[in-house]
Parts: sequence; structure tokens; C-alpha cells
Amino acid sequence: MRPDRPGAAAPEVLHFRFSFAEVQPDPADLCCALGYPPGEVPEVALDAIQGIVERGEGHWSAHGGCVVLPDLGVDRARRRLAAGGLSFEAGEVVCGQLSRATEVAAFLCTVGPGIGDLMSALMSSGDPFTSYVASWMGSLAVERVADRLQEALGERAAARGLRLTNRYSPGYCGWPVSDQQKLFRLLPPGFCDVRLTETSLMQPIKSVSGFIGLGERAVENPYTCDRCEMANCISRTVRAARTAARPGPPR
Amino acid sequence: MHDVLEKLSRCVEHGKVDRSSAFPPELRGEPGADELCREALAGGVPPQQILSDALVTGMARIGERFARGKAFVPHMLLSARAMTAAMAHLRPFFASGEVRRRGVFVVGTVAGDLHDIGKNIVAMMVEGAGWEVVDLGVDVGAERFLAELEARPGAVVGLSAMLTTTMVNMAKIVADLRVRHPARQILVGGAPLDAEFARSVGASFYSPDPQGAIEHLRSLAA
Repeated sequence: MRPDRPGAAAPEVLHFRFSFAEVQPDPADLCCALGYPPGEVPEVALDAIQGIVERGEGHWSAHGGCVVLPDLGVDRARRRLAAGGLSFEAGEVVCGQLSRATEVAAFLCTVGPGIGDLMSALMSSGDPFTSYVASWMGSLAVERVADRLQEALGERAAARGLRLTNRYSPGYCGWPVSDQQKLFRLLPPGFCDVRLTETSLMQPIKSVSGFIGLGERAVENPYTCDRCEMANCISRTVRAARTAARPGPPR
Repeated sequence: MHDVLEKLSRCVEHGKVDRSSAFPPELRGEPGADELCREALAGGVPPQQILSDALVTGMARIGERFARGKAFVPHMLLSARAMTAAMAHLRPFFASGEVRRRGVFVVGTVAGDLHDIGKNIVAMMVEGAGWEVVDLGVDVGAERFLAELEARPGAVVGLSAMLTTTMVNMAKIVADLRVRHPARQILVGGAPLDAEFARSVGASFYSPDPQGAIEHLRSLAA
């Protein structure tokens, strides 16, 4: 991980670059996400995974960063957040989860355009299966970028006696994806080389954005799937597959 | 049925693309969809029969297994890959009119949503059921659907949404389409949807799985 500070005059901006090795998905997680139980992964899937890995670093440009804003306001009654002079219709779940935070980090992470281009090329060539594998690999890799960023942010927060919440993204937990326009206004122009479409979708496609709360009483929950209606999200898929593979006492 | 068609449908069902494909292991070294489709054509089997008795049959089998929870997304995509390999040999016959499609299916993921796996699976299953598929991709607004429908008066529309936050966009697109196409068949699907939502927004049909959509399309084409 190589930290740099594009906003040297604005010290609240953090930015990190990562090698593919640092964010490469765990093969077991990838196989779970693809729907295969451990030990039952067919050769065709392993070959597809290996083939994408062997295409090398050129397909990956992993980086992420955040802006830490000290003025978080949470209006649980109206289900709104306020930060950086902007108001967000974040919804009941996100407002509830951030209610103990006093600051918020607006974050943005990406693995770059290469993996999306590869997915499109595979799809166009009549190979939806390998495209699907590449898609999951990109999704899990960008979550790894976000994990790394959250770890780095957590270390800095801990030094100030603060803790983090989970991270939350527009489009999930009832938070309209259109709020992504405002979220991007909190970030430096061209941050992480990610842009928004008119419909508030990020390009490159394998990018994630959102808020992480910080505060002395902030709480990171082990999981919040029961609070979200998204049936096919990454966390739910991998967690469910792992639980099925390794049954144990409920947490 | 010709033996070669049965073998071809089996290759499609199990995702065996060609002889070099190592998957599925039990068919290793055997000819795949690519070789068998060429063999069938060379043997004089009508292209329409290859489509109906092998490709449609193979995709229907994997679709039924998927609907029963006996097959999963990767299996469907492997089948689609094999079907595509065989379909490449039939494309000239579509162009010449020797093979007739059952209809046109215009499909896309709604504006604001970039989830395409479910949409892709439905598109491939519908193509495998003998329909011409016009895939508009992801993040598609009403204007693009309307433009496509102007050029294809009999086309059926398929809309996909994966997020509760983009279901509102789906509702708006259906409403916009209904203004100019009140009787048009509009199929909707996606993880957060249900039949009640489909009814409430004015869609014609909802199915929780691709096979339901296939069966509905089959009823339309009958």
C-alpha cells in the first residue's frame, strides 16, 4: 500500500494505491461467490480464475481514498444525513447505523477500467461464463480495496480515540443511488479517476463509494444483512456460502 | 430425433463448447456443440430442426434444472457459452430467413442500475428458446426502449432491476412505454421485485426465474 496525499493543503483527504497482489480476492471467497461449495469447484472455473489472474497487473488499477468531514449531522426522524453542507436522503437504516458517529468519511474506491473492459470483451466473444468470473473477481477486489482503506482509516481514527461504523453506499439499504451525485461533490474533482453517469452510476464499473462514520461511540456491526433487502449482494452471498460450508454456532 | 441432435442438446445442457473443452469431465475428448452443430448441418439436418430439437431443448433442460434449484448461475452461463458456439453456425440461416425466430425480445437493465447478470441470463435463455434478442445493456432509459420499439413493432420488452432503489426507475419506464404502447407485452424481473409490484406498475408479466419468462413467451408465440 502506497499512501499519497493529492490534497496536501487539505489534510483530511486520504488516497492510497494498491498492487493487485494486495487486493486479489481470496480464491475460496471467489468460488463461494460463484456458487460452488468448497471442494466442489470444477476445473473449468479454476481455469477461468487462473486465466484472469495470469492476464496480469495491467488489468488492475486499484486505488481508493476518502475525505473526512467533521460536521456530520444525523436526523433520524427525517432519515437524513448532513455533511459538508449537503443533505443526503440516506434512509432509516443508514441514519440509524451512523447515529452514534460525529464525523463521516466520504470514500471512493476502484480497481480501474481494465476489468470492466475484459468483462465486455469476454461477453462479446460469446463467453458469458468467464465474463461472470471476471465480474465477481472485480467486485470482490474493489471490496478488498475498500477493506484496506477502512483499515487505514481505522488506524488513524484510533489514534484520535475514535471508532468506525460499517460502510454504506448509495443504492443500498434504501439510500437512493441519485445521492451519489452529492457524495461526489464532497470529493476532489477527478478523485480516483472515477466519474458519474447522468444516472449516477460510476465509471469504471468496478468502483464503490459511500460513507463511513467516525466517533467515540461509533459501532461497527458484525453484519447487517438482516437490515438490507438486497438479496444478491457480495457480502450476503459470500457469507451465506461460508456459513453453509462451515456450519457453526450462530454469532 | 437424430442422434447428433440428442448429443448436441446434451452438450448445450452441460456446457460442452467443443472437443478441446475439459468440461464436463464425463464428456472429455468428445465433440462439443461446435463440432456437432457443423456435423448436423453437413448431414443435411434442417437448421430449423437443429435450433428447435437441440439448442432450444438443451437450454430448456438447464432452465428447468435452474428453476428447480438443481443448477446454478455458472451452469446456465456454461450452457449459454455452448449454445453460442453452436448458434454461430446457424446465424447465416437466420439472415437468409431459412430459420424463423419466434419473435423479438428487447431487453435491458433499467436506468440507474448496472447489474447485468440476471438480464444476461434471461437474454441468453430467450435466445436459446428461439427468439431474436436485442440486448440494450445496462442503465437504459425509456427513450432507448421507445426508439427500439419504433423499429420493431411486434417486439416484447424485458426490463430488469436489481435494487429497490432502481425499482422506481422501472416503474417510470413502464409508465413512459405505456403512453405509446398500451398493449405491448412488458416483462419485468429482478431480485427485489414481485408479482404485486409488476401489477402495480402496469407490467404484463413477472417471473422470479428465467424459465417462467420463457414459458410466458412460448404462450405468446403459440
